[in-house]
Amino acid sequence: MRTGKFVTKLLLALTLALPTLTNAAVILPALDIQSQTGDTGASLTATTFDIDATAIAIIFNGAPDQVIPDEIFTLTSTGTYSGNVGLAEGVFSGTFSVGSLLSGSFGNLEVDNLGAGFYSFSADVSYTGGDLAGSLLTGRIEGDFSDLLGTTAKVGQITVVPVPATIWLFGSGLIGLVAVSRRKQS
Amino acid sequence: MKNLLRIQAIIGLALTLMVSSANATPTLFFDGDIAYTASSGELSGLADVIDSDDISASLDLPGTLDFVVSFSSVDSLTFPGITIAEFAGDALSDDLIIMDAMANVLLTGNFVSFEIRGANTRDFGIISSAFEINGGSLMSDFSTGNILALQFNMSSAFSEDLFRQDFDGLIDGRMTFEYAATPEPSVLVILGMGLVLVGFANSNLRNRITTKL
Repeated sequence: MRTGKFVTKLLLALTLALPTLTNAAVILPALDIQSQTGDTGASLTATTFDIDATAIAIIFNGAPDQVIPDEIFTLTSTGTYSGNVGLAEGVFSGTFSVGSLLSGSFGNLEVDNLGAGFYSFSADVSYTGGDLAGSLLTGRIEGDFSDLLGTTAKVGQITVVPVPATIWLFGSGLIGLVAVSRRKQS
Repeated sequence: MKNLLRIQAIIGLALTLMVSSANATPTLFFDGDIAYTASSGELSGLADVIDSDDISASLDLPGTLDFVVSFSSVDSLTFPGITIAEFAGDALSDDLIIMDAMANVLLTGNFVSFEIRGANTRDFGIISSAFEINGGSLMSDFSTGNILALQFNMSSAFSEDLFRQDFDGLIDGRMTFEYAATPEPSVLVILGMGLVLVGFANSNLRNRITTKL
């Protein structure tokens, strides 16, 4: 009985710790965000950080990428940016959306000024809606931008292919068959 | 005369459309893997070219982007907390090759510059480079290009010691290209055609007056 409780507590602790551990990197599948002709790209001021770009594909782990119809990616946030070169020179909170595919918020987006007009940024995000959010509550965004060369970013840990209801029905049917056959045997 | 005016109108419209799209930036987008071997100092990248923007040629995608560069130097003093590494291409062979889905070579080139920079303790950073195009079926369209890529999910975080060890990671980014030749400014062409028309109208008028006289 005690062992059972311990296992339950351990599983609960692991479940709570998992989002923190997994957010150390972009978990695939991820959305590929790129600035294209007509997009404003990233704009950074002392108090705002915004991105106007396009979601062009879904990146998979070890499988071919899936090019998707272009979706508008918008990120708006407020915070403070020192203007210095270095780690986490800007810290912002705000929201983002990818058309009807995904929307989310973040409270800890950090912008690193890498010098020479290059910047990178990252944040753990909470999904608040959209088809790709699925049952996932957390994700991560990482990206970079240059004054001259554009903006590229990834929004990771998304739901891509929801399991069709027929598979669940088929699976539960199989389980039922096994259960019936066991009963007969016993 | 009417036909000439029509032709001029059509050409003028076409040129106006060309001018309106003059700000377009031909771009290829890619996703893939990157690996660094400390013993050889070699950094190699292999990525799928998945999409394009403002490239008029019909491309059979997904294609591939393959590149190799060699470590030159690392700088962690210019900007404290930021690691910047410089790489160089191989003088004897092409540094990058871009192929389409049928393995036809779209572009080959050599890097003029190749740099990785990132904030220390982060496992992601930026790859930026400039290259000159020297071959491939799109060579006549473009002369030079740039790469901007996010290098992420690296197996080792950025530090001044990063390039003393092997590491790998993912890359995702974009290649933007410069057109090979600047087309003649359309304004001059339109002005030229206008002058020709004025000349034609004058000679027509003279002919009419001469005929009447």
